[in-house]
Amino acid sequence: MKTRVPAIAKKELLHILRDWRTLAMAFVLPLVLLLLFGYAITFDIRDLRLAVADEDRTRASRSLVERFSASRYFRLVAEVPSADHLPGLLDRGEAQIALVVPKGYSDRLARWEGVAVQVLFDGSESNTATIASGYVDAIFSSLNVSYVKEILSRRGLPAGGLPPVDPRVRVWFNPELDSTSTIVPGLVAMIMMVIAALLTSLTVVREREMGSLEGLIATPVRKHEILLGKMLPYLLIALADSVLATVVGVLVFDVPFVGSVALFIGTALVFTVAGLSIGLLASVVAGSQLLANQIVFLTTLLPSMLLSGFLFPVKSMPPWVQAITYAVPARYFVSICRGILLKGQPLEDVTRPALFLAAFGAILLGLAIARFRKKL
Amino acid sequence: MIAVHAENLVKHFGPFTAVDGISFEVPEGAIFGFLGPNGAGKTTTIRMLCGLLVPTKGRATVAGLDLARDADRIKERIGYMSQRFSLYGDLTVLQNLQFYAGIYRIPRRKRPARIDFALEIAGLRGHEHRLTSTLAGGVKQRLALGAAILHEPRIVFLDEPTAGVDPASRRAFWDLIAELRLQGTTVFVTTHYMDEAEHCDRLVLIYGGRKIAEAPPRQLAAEALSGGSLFAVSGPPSASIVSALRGKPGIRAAQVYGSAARVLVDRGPDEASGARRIEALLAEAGLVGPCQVKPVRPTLEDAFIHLIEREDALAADRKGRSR
Repeated sequence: MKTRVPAIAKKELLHILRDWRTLAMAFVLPLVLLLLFGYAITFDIRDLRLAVADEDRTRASRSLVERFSASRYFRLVAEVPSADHLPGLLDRGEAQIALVVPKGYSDRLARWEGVAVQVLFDGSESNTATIASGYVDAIFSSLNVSYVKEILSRRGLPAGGLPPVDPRVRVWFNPELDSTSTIVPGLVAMIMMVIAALLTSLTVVREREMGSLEGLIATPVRKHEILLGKMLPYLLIALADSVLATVVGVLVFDVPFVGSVALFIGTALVFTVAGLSIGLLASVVAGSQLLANQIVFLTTLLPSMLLSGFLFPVKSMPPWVQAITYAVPARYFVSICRGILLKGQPLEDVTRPALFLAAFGAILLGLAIARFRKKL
Repeated sequence: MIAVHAENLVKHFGPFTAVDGISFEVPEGAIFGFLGPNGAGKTTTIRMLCGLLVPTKGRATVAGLDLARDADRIKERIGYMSQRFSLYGDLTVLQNLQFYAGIYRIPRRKRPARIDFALEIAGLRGHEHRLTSTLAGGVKQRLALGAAILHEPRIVFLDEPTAGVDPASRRAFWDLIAELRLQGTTVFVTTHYMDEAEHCDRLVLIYGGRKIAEAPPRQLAAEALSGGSLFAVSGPPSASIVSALRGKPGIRAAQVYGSAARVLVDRGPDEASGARRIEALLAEAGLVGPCQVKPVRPTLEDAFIHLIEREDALAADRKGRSR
């Protein structure tokens, strides 16, 4: 029996080509979102505003301050004569971190007496403060090691074994710990989820509102033919979209792409079907175009953003939240995207999430077909 | 042969009863008219027969198939033209027809001829590439008809096909319907235009979800007024004529009808007796001055209005008794 899917698909394509706004939304919106989020979301802390009260004003104190200002993590914005000026700077947000080098710093060092150096953080952005304190610790520990070495050598002792335990950390897949590289693949997954679902979310309910569905369902066309036919052109668009977004990610944000392009496109296809099915289901159950849109935003945007592991690692969520993430298709694609782009994972490694995605898409599509009534 | 057989069809929408137990038979090859005011249940009935709504109660066969079991196979044998234009405005004429040709799986070698036929019906040959939304109302309706009969259905259901269409286009549309019948297609058509109902071979009057009469149009008009004579009364303002006569003994009905009043009286021994009765009642009411009372041949509209009044009276009576 000949299927009517091509007839429906061709008609749907004609609608899309006639309606430039849908097309524009399909291609421009993902890019705008990608660029906005890509630039806005970064977990790298750079150029922290640093205020310094160097009350000692010696060579040793200046060398300490230099260790901060020379690092690319800190930018010296204010030098004040005494610590009294610092609270105001932190209050007004002019500085995020303040360093107090006390008077007598150099003398106490020289006398091997130990000296306390105060570092103040603006903790209102706790994430920034946490990361910044890591940088501060690193600066001080390297400074301490160099002092210890100097003293040992002055006393004629070998200083080669210092520090006694020296961790050699090497970061794989993203050696510069550039958070953009991990965010952009997740971003592509999130955006494509939302766009795919949005694309199909109006297809059925629009025809219902316009009255053309009445003519269509009075024909012997089958339910699955209508829905599959409607999905087909959007599948191509959404797939082209994913590729485009990934290319932009690689070119604009320097995200490495070490894995197989074919594998990426194959998994993107599976993911897109899941997204489009969410849209179809919303379109079938919703009574109006507005409602369909809202269902899609609610069921794709928030879960994809919060529960996909795109921003917050799934593994660090409480168990019951982790359980929910299994029902978020973006979760699988986020891990597939990162796996293929950053690690170059082969098929075997992405089979499990890809199968989950496929099952997800199949269930949603089946549900949409089942819920679709050829009635008014 | 029977094209459509409906038996006690009922449709509830929540507490509202749209169709209240309608039964009828549509003979094959006939133009079957479903006549009634807006909200009478015409569209609901046609939608049930086309498988777009599930009847609350009752059963029907369409094109020899049971509606409850074979809805999809019925859809292969029927064409349906909804009251609201259902083709795609953002597609061209040709794209719409090609789409429906694909949906009905018309064999490729037959497609050009069928599409050409639909274009001819719509008078759109040479305008295949016009955007459908830019067509005039009458042309849209003819195009919708062309699309509904692309697959040469045995029965075509037309729901108020001429609503909101200018008189010339309406006439052209009825010419098409007559042509379809000549080719052997059964036409099931709803309308609330009385003049259109005259084109039908058989007519069902529905009102308030119930069938109130069924007959060929001419017979219907005569039967509805059985035992009465109809007069056109003019002279005094027709509203005052109506109020002077309504409810009086021997007067069955009185309505304003343009500048005159239409009055139905019990048939007397001769034609003149009815006229005399009317004149006497008008004089009694103090309506003096020149007054014309002329016997008229009842139109379908007279019949319809009379039947509706009778139905309303019966309904009020039923309600009164049930209290």
